[in-house]
Amino acid sequence: MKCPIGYSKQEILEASQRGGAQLQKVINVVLRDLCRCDAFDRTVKSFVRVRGGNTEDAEDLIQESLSQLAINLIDQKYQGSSSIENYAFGICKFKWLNIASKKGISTVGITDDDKEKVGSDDVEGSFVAGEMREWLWKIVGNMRGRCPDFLKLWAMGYSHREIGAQLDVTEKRARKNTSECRKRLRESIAQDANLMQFMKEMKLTNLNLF
Amino acid sequence: MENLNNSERIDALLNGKLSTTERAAFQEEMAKDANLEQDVKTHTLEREAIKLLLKEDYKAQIKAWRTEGSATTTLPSSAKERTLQPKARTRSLRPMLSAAASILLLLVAGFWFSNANYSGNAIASDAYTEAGSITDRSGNVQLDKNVQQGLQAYFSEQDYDGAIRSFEQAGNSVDANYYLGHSHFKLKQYGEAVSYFNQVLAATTLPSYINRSQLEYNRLLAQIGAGDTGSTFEQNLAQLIQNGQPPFNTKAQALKDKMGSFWRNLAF
Repeated sequence: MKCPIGYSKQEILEASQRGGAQLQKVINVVLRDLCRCDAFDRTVKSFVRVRGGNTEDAEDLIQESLSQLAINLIDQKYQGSSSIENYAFGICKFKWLNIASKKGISTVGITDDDKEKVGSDDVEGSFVAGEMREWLWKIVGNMRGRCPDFLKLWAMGYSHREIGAQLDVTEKRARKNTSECRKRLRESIAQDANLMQFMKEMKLTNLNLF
Repeated sequence: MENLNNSERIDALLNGKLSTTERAAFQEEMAKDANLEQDVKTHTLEREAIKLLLKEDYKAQIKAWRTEGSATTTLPSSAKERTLQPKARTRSLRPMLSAAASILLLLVAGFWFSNANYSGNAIASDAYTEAGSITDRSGNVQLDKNVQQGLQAYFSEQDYDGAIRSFEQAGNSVDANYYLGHSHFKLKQYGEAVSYFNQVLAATTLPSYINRSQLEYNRLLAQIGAGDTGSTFEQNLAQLIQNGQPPFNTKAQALKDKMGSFWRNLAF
């Protein structure tokens, strides 16, 4: 599969490591180009149809997988062992296997090859799932004012100077606001009974931090 | 890393910025300090929460791009099924069916032709005139840095979504609004384009790189693209034909003729 992508693999990797405004630009171009790539569209739809899904399932899968691709680029999970379109397809495969298993769709059509990830890049998404994700979403979705903007830019690796420039505030104000918003979010998380329980059971050793 | 507070150390850990030795020391410290472990977990969930926000944003953008491209990519299943219909069973019906099919084919071709050339989208994008370049402006004008970024995205990268983000950051200025209108036009978001063009045209004087008649003409096209061809459109059109500068007055007249043509009426 070959898609015309506006940035080379090397440029994507560099942006992923650097973060900030450059990464934002690269992600936008990569996602847009993949959205418009017929080869990618056909490959994913054919893959899903052959393995028990329909066109609508494939469309949902593409949207979910491409948004995951953006997050994986932010998290530097893409290491360039395959082309970006094949990596995106790898995420689709991985997600479809999960969906098929959850929906009870027969996995007869799923081959061993499907179970192999593309290259050695990490295609998995968040370690949080299901209800946990909903609780987190409830908290972060309730944040008011410009906090979500500060938080999103910070998470994308923007420097405080860049955040200030984007949101039209001074660097000092950007630093202060980002810090306050983060603190507020962490306090809300720490006060939520469901998330408290989750954290008690959470094993940091599973996160490859050490 | 010794001068960092706990929160900064946790950030360094989660960002993968600690050395092997520092990570080992951190792990050891965490084993003895339940509060530190709790803080690491809270920081981890904080990041996951923000990623949910980012993911939603990306998903909305991806959906828009996918919807925009879907018209040309797939054949609807119902159309495919139609090709599998059985052949007509009786020979006597064939001439009649052939005639009907020919008429249908002509009608379909007519509709296709009219839609391809006379639909709002087709008229808007075919007749569109490109935005003026701000660099034509005489004198040394200090441009807002967001406008500069937007111009870079608009002219050099043709990244109109990126351009919109930058121009929106620039606040309510004629420069930003003018290019916001053109960026939305390029993305076929005609309603937004009309709104920004209106804001620019409301200014008494315009910078030299903006030709008022050209902008009025582009506004008409955006109105057609948005399907907004009511009385306001008629007034704008009549005014440009009467008072506009060449060649936009004649272009406006041609547009009026096209709007009243048989094919345009067939398209709608």
